[in-house]
Amino acid sequence: MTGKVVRFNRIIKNQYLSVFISGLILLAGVGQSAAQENGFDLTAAIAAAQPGATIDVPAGVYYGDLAVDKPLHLRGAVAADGSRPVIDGQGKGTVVVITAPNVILENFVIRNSGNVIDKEDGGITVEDAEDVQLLNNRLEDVLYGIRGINAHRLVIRGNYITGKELDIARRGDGLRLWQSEECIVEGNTVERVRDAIFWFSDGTTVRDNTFHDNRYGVHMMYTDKMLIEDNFMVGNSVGAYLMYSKNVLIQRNTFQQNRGPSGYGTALKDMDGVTVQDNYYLDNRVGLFFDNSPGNVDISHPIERNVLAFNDIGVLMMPAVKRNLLRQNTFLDNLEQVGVKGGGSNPGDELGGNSWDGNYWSDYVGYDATGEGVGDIAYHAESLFENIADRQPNLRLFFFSPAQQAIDFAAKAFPVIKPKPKLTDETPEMTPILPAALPQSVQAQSRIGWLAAAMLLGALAMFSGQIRYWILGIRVRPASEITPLPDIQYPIPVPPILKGHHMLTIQNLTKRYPRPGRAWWSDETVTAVDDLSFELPVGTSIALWGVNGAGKTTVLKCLLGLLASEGELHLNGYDLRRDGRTARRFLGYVPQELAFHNDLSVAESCRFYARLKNVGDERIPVVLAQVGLTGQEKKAVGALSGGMKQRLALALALLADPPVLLLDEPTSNLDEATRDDFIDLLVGLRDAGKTLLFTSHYADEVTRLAERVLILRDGRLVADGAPAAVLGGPRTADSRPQGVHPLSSTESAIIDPAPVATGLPSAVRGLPSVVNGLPSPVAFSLEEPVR
Amino acid sequence: MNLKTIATLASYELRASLRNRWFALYALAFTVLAVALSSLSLSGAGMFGFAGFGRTAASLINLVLLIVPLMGLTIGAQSLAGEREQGTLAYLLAQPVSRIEVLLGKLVGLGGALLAALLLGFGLSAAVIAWQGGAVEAGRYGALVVLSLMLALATLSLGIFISAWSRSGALAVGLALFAWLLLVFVGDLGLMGTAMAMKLHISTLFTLTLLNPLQVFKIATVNSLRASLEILGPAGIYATRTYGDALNALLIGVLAVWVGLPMVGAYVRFRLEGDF
Repeated sequence: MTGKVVRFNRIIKNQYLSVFISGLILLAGVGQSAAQENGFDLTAAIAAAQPGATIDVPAGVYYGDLAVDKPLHLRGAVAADGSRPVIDGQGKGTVVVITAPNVILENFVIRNSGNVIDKEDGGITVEDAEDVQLLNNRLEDVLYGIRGINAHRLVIRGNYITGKELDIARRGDGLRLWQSEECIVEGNTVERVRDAIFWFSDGTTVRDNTFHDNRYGVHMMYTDKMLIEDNFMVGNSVGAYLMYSKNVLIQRNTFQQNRGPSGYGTALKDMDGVTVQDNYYLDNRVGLFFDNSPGNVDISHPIERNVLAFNDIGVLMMPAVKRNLLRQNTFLDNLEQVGVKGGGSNPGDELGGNSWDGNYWSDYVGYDATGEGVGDIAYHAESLFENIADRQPNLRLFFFSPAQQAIDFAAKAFPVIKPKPKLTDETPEMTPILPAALPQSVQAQSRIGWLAAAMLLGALAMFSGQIRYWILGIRVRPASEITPLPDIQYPIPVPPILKGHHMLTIQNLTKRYPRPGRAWWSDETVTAVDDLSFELPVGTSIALWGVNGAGKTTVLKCLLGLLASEGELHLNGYDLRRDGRTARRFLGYVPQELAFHNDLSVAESCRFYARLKNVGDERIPVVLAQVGLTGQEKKAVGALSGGMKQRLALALALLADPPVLLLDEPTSNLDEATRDDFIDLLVGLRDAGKTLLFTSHYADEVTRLAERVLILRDGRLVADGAPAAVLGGPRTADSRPQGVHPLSSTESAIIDPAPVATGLPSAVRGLPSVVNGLPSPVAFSLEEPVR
Repeated sequence: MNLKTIATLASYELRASLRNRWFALYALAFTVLAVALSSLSLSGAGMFGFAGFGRTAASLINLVLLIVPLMGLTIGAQSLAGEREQGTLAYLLAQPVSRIEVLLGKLVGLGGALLAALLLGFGLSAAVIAWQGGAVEAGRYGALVVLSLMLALATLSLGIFISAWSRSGALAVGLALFAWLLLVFVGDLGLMGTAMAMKLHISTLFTLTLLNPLQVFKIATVNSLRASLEILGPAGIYATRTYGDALNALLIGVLAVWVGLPMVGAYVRFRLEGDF
């Protein structure tokens, strides 16, 4: 290969050809040769120079490959702006080849090497030449960077080396020393290359370099007496991988974020006589990795004053690694402080051959009563989950989950499954031991304070409830602000009601419930409403009458869509099942069981349901006045008496001024006096044209309010007629003081008509006469107690 | 479906939750623990001005995994079943509202309450971090909050599903606690045991893990905090290599499915089972 380089140089030396090539380059527009411009011919100058001479090279672009075959000092002129002479390899071969001793190459930009990896095309090759110095050069767009082959005492100082934009597997090595002893690699930055390789190069010093974004920051083999100090190895796949060597000192380096698939900060394989001290290992996959190091049974390795922080695993050892003496190291928040690769047969046995006394462990929970800086009880690294994960690395997927902690907790709580401690530190340090030099890491700009403020403001807004209304479009407005919603008119427009039209039509309504207590596979049902049909003409009032369980409430709930049922239900043309949501706007409902949100006040309840009914707030005082709740707005619904709740229920039902009211035992919670008023109120609503369907236990209520009574028994309609006809003559006011006669007394009368016939009000006695026409003997059999 | 109706229902739910004693207890516990954990974890990391992926994030993830699903599941479980028992649900459904509006109102309102709790806990915790000079990147912390909210919604949705299918509030809460136990501990432990006993292939293990929304949250959080899953060992590296840039979308998609699917299941029951 050398022969070929020399041959090509001979061709270049041909002046005519040189001019021709330069002309071609000019024509191609690649750029004018500065060598032509400034009249300086570097190749000729080297050829002409005496050995030992210094050649000052002016600014310009020179073309390689350049061969330096005699001891010379080539010194590039550094311009005021820092620019330097460029040696361009034109994309072929190695740019500069040095084959003579004592050459100094200084202040050049060396770029654009060839791209053939097996020919090791690169920036600078020093071959069979001792005491060469490469100083302050910048190598860029080169496949390999600097290669030293049989180049003893090579000094590589202050250079910047970066490779071609290639996938990591196709890159060349940034530095490669081969059989080159006692070299000094100092103050260089090596980025985006494959490795920095040191093989068979005893006594080499690697100091104060930055290795960044490479595969292996330092890849060393068979190189004894090496010194690696003050380097910064960040973002490589592996920081430093040291193999098969003796007597190596690693100190004051920072290994950070080396997170490739193996991702070691420093890996030691078959090494003997290694000292690792005062290094920082930060955020690597593994801080320090030991594989058969030390290998020699007479050798032990001091590992001291290193900081291993935030790594996935602080120290990882192959099984059976022994004789590493770890002391005064700081193990800080590594996910796993110490691990055994592959788990080993028992991590405790595997790690026990090393000394772990006198380190700082961030997960140590002991104390120091004596105040000597050393914990009074031993530190044990024991985690069942870590042991499992060491053995089954796939299960690291479950890191950070409560299940992981559950396993560790179980191991602590039940000593049967408690693992043997991986390691024990009898004298744990109480405070971290930090090397003097702090790591070179850069602190990220943090806006976390702003984020905190934003989140707290958000929380405050939601909790204080002010913006809650605002966000969701619901705001408690002072009365003065209240204006009617523009699209709402009262009463709510109902589709035009045809003459003779029925407001409510019920055809063949049937409701079956699953039989209580049936087996889950059974489809047994009980029929609550059986084939019920009736109509409600506009403006009429109809009562549903019957014992408990007769199906009255069920009918109402079916109309409201609360129960799935069979049959046809129509409200003024709306199919109550299909258009239930719309149809319910025309239904006011007063339930039997008054279940409101107890945490709301009367006014809040009104506003809530007003919004659901799409009604403006100005209706609220109107309906509250209608039911006599004015002045109770601020009371919590939960604190209202039963009667008040009943009124509230009616108020809510009236909010949207619906044409139809469904009332389920509307007076059941009221005392005598209020009942009277309440019924008057309902009579007024009926007279104002509302259509009423209500259930009741009270005969007088039915008589006063209903124009028609439907009597249900076991879900069937058994009688239908005017109250006077069905229940007897209209009840008069004078009969009321004797007591209202709920259906219970009536029913008990009917079960056995003979004894009942005496002493019962006429209204009750009238009942059998109507139902006599029915096929079966009339009996409102009471199969359940009536309240 | 009317947005105003949903907003009305949601705002009621939000307000009722924020006034709910249980909810207040959860929110308080979450806040206190988040602040305490951040404060404790930073006491070690502060000395570098370099937090790495130390205890802060890890402990916050663990806290979220424990408490947020508990909040979501129990609050969701109480929602329908409890109101059905009290009769308030029947009264509500007698109003001009549709059932999907009621269901969405619950999801939005209760989700809002969970958001309030998360903002409080994470907000105070972030304030502590900022005050102690921890260098946690705001964007990544924000991602943790957003993913936590998604987890909260997913478990809330599951809670509502349980609630829709339970006859009583007590049963629903019991089932929710069981589901919590299943998601937090039993599922993972079972999967670990299976992985060890059956020597599950790494892709199978990863796929099975995605069935648990808690693990999906955790993996998504680690991925957004670290930009890769290497920290989760070979299975994490497998996921990073297999799905690459699509991994985040995949994980967020799975969480979104966990929000949506139980709601559909709840709606099916709530809609078809007409009786209240």
